[in-house]
Amino acid sequence: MSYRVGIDTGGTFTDLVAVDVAARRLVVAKRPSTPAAPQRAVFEALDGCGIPPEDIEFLILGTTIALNAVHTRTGARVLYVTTAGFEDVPFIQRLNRKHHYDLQWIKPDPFCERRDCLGVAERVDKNGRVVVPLTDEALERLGTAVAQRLSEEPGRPVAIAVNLLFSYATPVHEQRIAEFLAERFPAVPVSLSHNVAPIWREYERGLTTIIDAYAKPLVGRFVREVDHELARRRVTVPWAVMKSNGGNMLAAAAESQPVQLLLSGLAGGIIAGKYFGDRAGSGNVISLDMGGTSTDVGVVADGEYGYTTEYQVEWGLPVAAPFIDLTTIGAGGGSIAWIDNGGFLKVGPQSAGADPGPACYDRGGTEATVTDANVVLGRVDPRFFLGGDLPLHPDRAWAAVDKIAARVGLSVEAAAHSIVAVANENMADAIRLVTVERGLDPREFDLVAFGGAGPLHAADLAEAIGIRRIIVPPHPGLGSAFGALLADLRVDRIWTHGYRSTDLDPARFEERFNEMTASAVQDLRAEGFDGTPLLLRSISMRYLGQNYEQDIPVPPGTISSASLREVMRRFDRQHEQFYGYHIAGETMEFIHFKISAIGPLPKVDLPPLPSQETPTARTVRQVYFKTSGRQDCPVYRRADLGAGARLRGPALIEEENSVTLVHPGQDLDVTRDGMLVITGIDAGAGGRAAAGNVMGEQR
Amino acid sequence: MTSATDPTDLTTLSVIHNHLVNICREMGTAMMRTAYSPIFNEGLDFSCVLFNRDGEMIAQAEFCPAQLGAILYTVKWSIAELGLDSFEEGDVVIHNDPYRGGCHMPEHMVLKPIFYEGELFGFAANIGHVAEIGGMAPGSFAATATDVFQEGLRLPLVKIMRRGEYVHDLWKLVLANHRTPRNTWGDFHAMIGSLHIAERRVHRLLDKYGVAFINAACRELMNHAERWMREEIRRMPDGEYAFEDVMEDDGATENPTHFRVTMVIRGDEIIADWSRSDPQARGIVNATFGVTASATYNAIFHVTDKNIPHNSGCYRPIKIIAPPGTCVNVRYPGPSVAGNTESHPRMVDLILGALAEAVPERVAAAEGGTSCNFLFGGVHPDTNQYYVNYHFEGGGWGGRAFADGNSALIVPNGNCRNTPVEVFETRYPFLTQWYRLVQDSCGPGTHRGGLGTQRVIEVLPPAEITVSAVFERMKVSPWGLFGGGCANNSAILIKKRGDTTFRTFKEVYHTTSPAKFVNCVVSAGDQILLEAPGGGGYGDPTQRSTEAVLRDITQGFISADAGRELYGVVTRRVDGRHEVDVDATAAQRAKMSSTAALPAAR
Amino acid sequence: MAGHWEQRNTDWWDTTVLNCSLCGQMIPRDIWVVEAASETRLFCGPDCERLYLEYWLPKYGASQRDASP
Repeated sequence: MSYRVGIDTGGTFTDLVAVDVAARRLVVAKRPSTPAAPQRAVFEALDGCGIPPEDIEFLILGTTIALNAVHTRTGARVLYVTTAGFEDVPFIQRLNRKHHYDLQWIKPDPFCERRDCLGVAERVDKNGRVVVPLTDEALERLGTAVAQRLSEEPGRPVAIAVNLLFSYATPVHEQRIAEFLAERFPAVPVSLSHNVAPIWREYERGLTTIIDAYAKPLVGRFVREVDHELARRRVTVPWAVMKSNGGNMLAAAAESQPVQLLLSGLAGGIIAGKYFGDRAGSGNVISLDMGGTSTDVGVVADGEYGYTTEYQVEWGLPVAAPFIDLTTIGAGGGSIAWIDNGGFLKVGPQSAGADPGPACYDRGGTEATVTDANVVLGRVDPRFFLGGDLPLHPDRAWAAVDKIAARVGLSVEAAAHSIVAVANENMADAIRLVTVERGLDPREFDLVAFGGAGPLHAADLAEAIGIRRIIVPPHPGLGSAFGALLADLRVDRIWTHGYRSTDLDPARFEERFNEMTASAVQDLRAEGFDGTPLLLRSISMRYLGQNYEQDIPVPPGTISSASLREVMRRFDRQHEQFYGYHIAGETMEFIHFKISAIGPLPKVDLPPLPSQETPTARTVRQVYFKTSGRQDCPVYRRADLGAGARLRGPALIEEENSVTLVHPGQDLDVTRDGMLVITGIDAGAGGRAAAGNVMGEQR
Repeated sequence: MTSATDPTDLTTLSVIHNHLVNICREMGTAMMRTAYSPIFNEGLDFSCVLFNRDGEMIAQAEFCPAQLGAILYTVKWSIAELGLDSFEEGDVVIHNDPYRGGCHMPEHMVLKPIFYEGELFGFAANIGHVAEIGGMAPGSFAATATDVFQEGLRLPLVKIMRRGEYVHDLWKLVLANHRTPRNTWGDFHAMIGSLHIAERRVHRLLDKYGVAFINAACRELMNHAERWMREEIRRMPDGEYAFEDVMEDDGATENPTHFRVTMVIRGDEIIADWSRSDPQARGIVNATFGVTASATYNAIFHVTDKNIPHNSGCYRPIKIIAPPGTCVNVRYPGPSVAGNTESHPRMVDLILGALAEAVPERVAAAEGGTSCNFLFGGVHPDTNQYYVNYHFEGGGWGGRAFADGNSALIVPNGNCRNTPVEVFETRYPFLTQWYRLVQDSCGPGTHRGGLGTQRVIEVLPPAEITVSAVFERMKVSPWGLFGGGCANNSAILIKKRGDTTFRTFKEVYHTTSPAKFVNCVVSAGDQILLEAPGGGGYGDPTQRSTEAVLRDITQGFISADAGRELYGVVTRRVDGRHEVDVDATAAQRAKMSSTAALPAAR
Repeated sequence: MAGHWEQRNTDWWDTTVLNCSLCGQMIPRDIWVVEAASETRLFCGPDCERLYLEYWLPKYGASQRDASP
């Protein structure tokens, strides 16, 4: 036996998925998370899954410890070292406000105190030329300031973030400061902006570096504790953590790039989404992971997920490292329904969480939540929630929803339906945001539904958006852990330097790409990858005068004038697709040159399901549907369904960690891989969007 | 088509409202990502709206508050002036006329009729600030203008696209009269491109729900917003609340211009009566009707429920009185370019000041009140290309009933982001010496105001740059409320190469005003200082908790001297840390409450 | 006072603006004309005539700035 094990520590639950590739065996486990010491749940899951330590071939963790520390403000004390005169950049931020008309809003704190922002006399210009040299005296002054602060709260973790102006143009001063700090304060972790996020815009880069430093000590502690426990259990294989760019890295490297862990748990969902989309023959997939508190939405287009360097941990607090383009919204099973001052029904973002939880948990919650609404509608079996581990109290659900119903003048069931509809509208919005605002048509995508609640809401969502096919993977409640298993090793590099399309230098681009590739592959090797890496090159570019770039993939082969012309053609096409026009012959600016070196890990195949023709329902229940009111709905156990099984809605497919809803008239098929595929969705009318204009052309 | 449910069902209304706002948001995202002027793509100085065929606004996305009132009128009046019959499919109409509802000359409105299955359904429109529009000074801020002709090229209501084709003569005329025609070309494309996106999305919405359903839903949404706004107003105590403030000078003369408002709350209606304001100024600080409308709604939105959908309905209970020929409704051919960035925030603060008596827990003390407009242009030594830039700063906002004011924020008529130093220096031949918060710039209070910023930039050789500026709050400080004190003023100063001190542009270049001037030439080695004001304080500063004062001193937001003189908190340094001297503080505060001498609080 | 609607009649090249004599808004096309003994007033609609009578006159009386255009 030889298992690859993926473990994801979520906010409420810690999930484990283990696959024996050769024997095609799948093992799963789920435990409540232990937020005070996240790794404890990891080991409880490991202990409880029944796999002996010597059978573990590879272990990868997705963890939200960095994101939690950021949200709960429990990271290290950060000393922010920057060019003298610019110490206030983290506080000035970008001048804009979260809402237009909100006198209650308070600008967010940048994870450090103003008195901990230390200026160093040095200066570099936009070309990387030194304007004010960095002297030993300046370093000494810095040393004194740091030493004084370190003496103030002994025992409190401290880390240093260094962000000098134009560090992306030349790293030399930051490197010198790093050497000085390493020599003078060897125990203090240091983050350098030219490593963390070598892009322009000093606030974004600085804040990213601060967050990196903020999380460094606790990530280091986490890694050491897990190492220690694994050693105790005689698990000897190197283990990895999942990165926010969808790749993974050996744990030993995690402490050097903590900012890469911010989306660690969340990225797994979209990776799993891509995998299952692939297996279902679709390169265009929207992955939706709906849990108790939040829903994560991601897009895979033409087989690739998108990246962003504009992720915000909180409004106004950006992270400028390349992350998988995920949108998280406050919509989950525990989201609370409420009426605003205008009488509109709203759902979330406040959540009842796991404690007290929805009213039907009977732990003291009295607000109606989405789960309560689903219980009223009959979609959730109160005795089989979480496999029966958590019996629900339907009378509490009815009472809670009744309070809303009374205020909006609807029957309890109609009110429950409205609550679910509003929650779905929030999720549909998120889906529109990640597709339509990127020029993609969601009706051309399949929906892969994960999480405890994703498969339950998928049928409604697909109808609302116009999606024609839903895919529910096996063990959908464990999507992130499965995704962790699938993540390849991945290293990104970026070089920022503006060029005009009238003045390109193909030889120089080729040279820089090769240098970055060599450096990235070196990192891959250090992380244990022996094979042939997959190399992706792209250029971020824009029309001269615009301020936003788009990533355009570079064709393989040596870079030449011809291949650069092809890049420009691709840019025109993409601009047309997103914005409805392109400007023929316009000068372009080439800004960022990016490479990703990917070390693909062996593919995982799921054990095939035994065949079956006619599934048998376990029971029949009364479920409320909008079109028909309450009607009989057969309820199946997923474990009873085999490959080839086919049924028509209405139907509920229950399993330990989730439930899938099929609307009347929809069709469900079970594939050999164990996926549930729903078709026959009434997606409503719609025509293809009209072709865009070419504004630079004569008519 | 989906099976039609009741268009007045609240869930459905919520969904439709969402769809409509998302369409406007998409328009804006497209504009932001494709426009050429940084005022568009970083500053987000634009607005996107959808109207029905009756000229009522059915949805608006949140981009720039400056135009939120004006766009109501520019679109409605444009439709009425041309008449519905004169619109054809593929037409795009444009104007930047300040007397037709515009905010000021740089703001251009583009408007497109949306036809569906041959019938006119409604309109999509946006307003955007085009950075260069000709006129007497580069960068569209003619600080010393005395008439609209000097401000730039004024387009009355004209078609820029006709049946999907460029109206070539108009494009040629406009591009010949702007100094950076390439930027105008790109910005116009971005604006018009976003209208096409709106049309596509609206078609899809109509495909799904049908025209009748959407129209009924929009009517209900407007009525709903109106009812909600009336409910909010009803909750405010009836009365007449007056307040006044001043624009210090107008660029042409050194005379101040007084803006006066009486907010009349009667039942579920508000009248914003600006009629006692001064006659219009000779120079640029006049507000157009569009600016007065935008400022009035902006202030009212700040003190009412922010979930009220912003469509025509929520504006119905608010009546604005702004006699033409006064500084709140400039008449042709009076200038108005500073009205949008400088008078608008003054007017917002005025209304908040007026309503302080009615709803004290919802208002804030005066914010910085100036965008610190700094315009510059020249030929870039590296590329030999002509460039123009519109630069602004963010000041402190006023303290409020429950918290300090935020530091370094854009004025309330905008929601722009600054240009990062690295982007600024990559594009323009300057070196930034520093960019920081200004200690003690905040108005003292139980809750103090926010801090302003100071930036110093040095011209790099061999550049020669022509600069203009429009500043306010250099003489009259942002005021406090309920015993809170005033904040620091703004500043724009120059230190010529070889000089040792910073002086005003009036001293060095002999301009009429140190705050509003055009076309001063600066060259290599000259340094320019731009300082934004802080926000006023709220409440008596001697009531501020000593912990909060100590924290301010420790973090460097205020000095120990200010702590003592303004807040009555005496501190001392022990082992390099600040500590409160409790007894001395008690004595100091006792002394202060008996003399009660604070600078110009209201 | 009896008001009636009239349409603005300007040449196609004339871009001058007419304003309501109560609220100051531009009147793009349809004028609410109110004729009294001594003068004619132009409003953007009957609502402004009403407000003029019940709010403006009691507060300010007719004034020079307020004269019809």
